[in-house]
Amino acid sequence: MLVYDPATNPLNNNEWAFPLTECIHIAAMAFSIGTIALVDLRLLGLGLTKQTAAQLARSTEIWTLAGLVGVITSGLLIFSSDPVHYLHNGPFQFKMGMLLAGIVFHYTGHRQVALSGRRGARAWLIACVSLLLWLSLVFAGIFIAFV
Amino acid sequence: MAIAQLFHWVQETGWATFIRESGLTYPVIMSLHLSSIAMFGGMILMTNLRLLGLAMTDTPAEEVIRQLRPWKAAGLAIMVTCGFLLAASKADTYYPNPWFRIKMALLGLTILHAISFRKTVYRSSEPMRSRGRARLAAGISLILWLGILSMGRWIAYYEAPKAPMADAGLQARPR
Repeated sequence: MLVYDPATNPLNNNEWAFPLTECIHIAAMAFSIGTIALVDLRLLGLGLTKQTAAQLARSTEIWTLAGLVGVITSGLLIFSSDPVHYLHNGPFQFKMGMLLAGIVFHYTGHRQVALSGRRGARAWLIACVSLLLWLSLVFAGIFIAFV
Repeated sequence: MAIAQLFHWVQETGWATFIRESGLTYPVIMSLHLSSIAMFGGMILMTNLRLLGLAMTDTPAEEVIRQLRPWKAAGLAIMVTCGFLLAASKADTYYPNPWFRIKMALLGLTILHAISFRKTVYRSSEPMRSRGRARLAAGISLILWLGILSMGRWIAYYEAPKAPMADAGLQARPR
């Protein structure tokens, strides 16, 4: 039988490993959410308005994807340091739900509106939902440590 | 030392005590700090990637810099305000923390960086005239901000040599 003991995890046995993983998590979080937010601002008619939303979505997508890969990979490592604790943590459960919703939303409705160049109420609503969704993940991430 | 007394005085103010003792205020301010890192950090990244010639090459660099300037200023203002409130609420433990001191020094260097490259890159009508200089400015900026971010996380892991026993057992994971 395979039994996983978090005490054997290098993250729990090296003074630098855990904080370093957290730094990567935060930097990748800024890359992914930050680039998505630039497209959201553009959909609201703000920020980088010299580019169309479609142009901006195309020039940021690779960096968004790189950020998402980085943030999820480092997140999985952090999760592995104490899986039972996280699984029973309310903000963590909320965060995972929002992450799943965020990724699906980003690559369907959000992407469609950004690339279509549509403006108006729909684009505005999509941008607001996107901003709220991703920022709620940031809040949930912090609250994991405070419940 | 005078600075230590100043830090202690800040921690003892009513608002700093409120942040420290109220259960919800501290994590909410921390979340706002992180949210502005997400927004502001993404803008710093894209500006620097543009200066490195790695992203948004279909838009002139000066346009990217100019259009993001007010947003970066606003993000920085929120970030610094929240950071100040967080540090103030625990000023006594921040004062001797070497990671906090390095973070403040790196923040000072970003001001020096902004002044140094102001004329030739950030306020220039042709920031890409010297590609080498634009790359240098972007590289230094990325290193400084990644350093500041990392030091911010490390602050939570510093244990003062004579930490009171009661404090040490309070939290399993540093915040």
